Amino acid sequence: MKTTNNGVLREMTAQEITEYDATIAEAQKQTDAQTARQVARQAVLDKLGLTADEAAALFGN
Amino acid sequence: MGANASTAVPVYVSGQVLDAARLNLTNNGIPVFSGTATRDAAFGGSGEKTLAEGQFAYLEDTNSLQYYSGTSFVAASGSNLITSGSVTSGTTVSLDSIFSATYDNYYVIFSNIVQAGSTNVVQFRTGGVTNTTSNYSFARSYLDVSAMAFEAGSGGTTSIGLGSTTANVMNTWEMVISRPFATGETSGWFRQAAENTSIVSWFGFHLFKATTSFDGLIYTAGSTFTSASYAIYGLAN
Repeated sequence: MKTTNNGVLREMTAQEITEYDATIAEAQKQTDAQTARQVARQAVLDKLGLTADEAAALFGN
Repeated sequence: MGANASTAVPVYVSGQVLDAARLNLTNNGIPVFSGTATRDAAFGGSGEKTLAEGQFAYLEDTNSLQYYSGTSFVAASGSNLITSGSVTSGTTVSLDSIFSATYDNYYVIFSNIVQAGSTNVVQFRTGGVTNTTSNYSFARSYLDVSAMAFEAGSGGTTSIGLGSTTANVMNTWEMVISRPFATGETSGWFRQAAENTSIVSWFGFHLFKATTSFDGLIYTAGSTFTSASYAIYGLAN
């Protein structure tokens, strides 16, 4: 796994690989949480029988 | 040192012979210096002009135009390129020594980004070390041709999450960073645009909620870059 530091391409250190893995894992967690919120929102809209456009007209978004 | 670079800004006295060498010194218009050290050494000495308000200077090492305000040299234009470059491989791009006391605020743009993953994350660095503490916060909204969503903010994270883009399509992001070098909180805004089956954009703001001085940043992609170009500008105070 490689990184470019100030224009120089090199192999990542063990510490950098650990940081990379942690950063990507957190970003994925945030994306998953956002997806879960969208799914929950859609479930409520389905229950109410509203389309996304109708919900936006009612609630602003 | 380039052909236009000066080592002195002369002053002439009554009756002095102005030969070709002396006239050539004054033919350069705005004096060009290799850096701040040669610039500062060119004024105030024997046979040199006394530095005064309105004096312009061009610096070769930073490609910047400056003028003397009466107390110091300051940037003559609104934005000044600090560094730029491009990558064609690797999964992170780190840039150190880009923030300094010269500017309070910075504009960062990464363009022509094509990567095999979807994650786009930014963190700050000090002395070549990435700050991975849980002091980052950000909030962002999402917009494409058929939908818009205000996403909940994320507080206490270890990075700033930009957009989540589709792999192997070109995207661009830009960020304004306010006072990263000052020992205080760092904040600003960002936006990212990606080309997909439709255009997708993300807009957001970020805050590092701790009193830390940063001199660099790191951009982390979800997987290997095919391409990315970057430019960092200091915004004149």
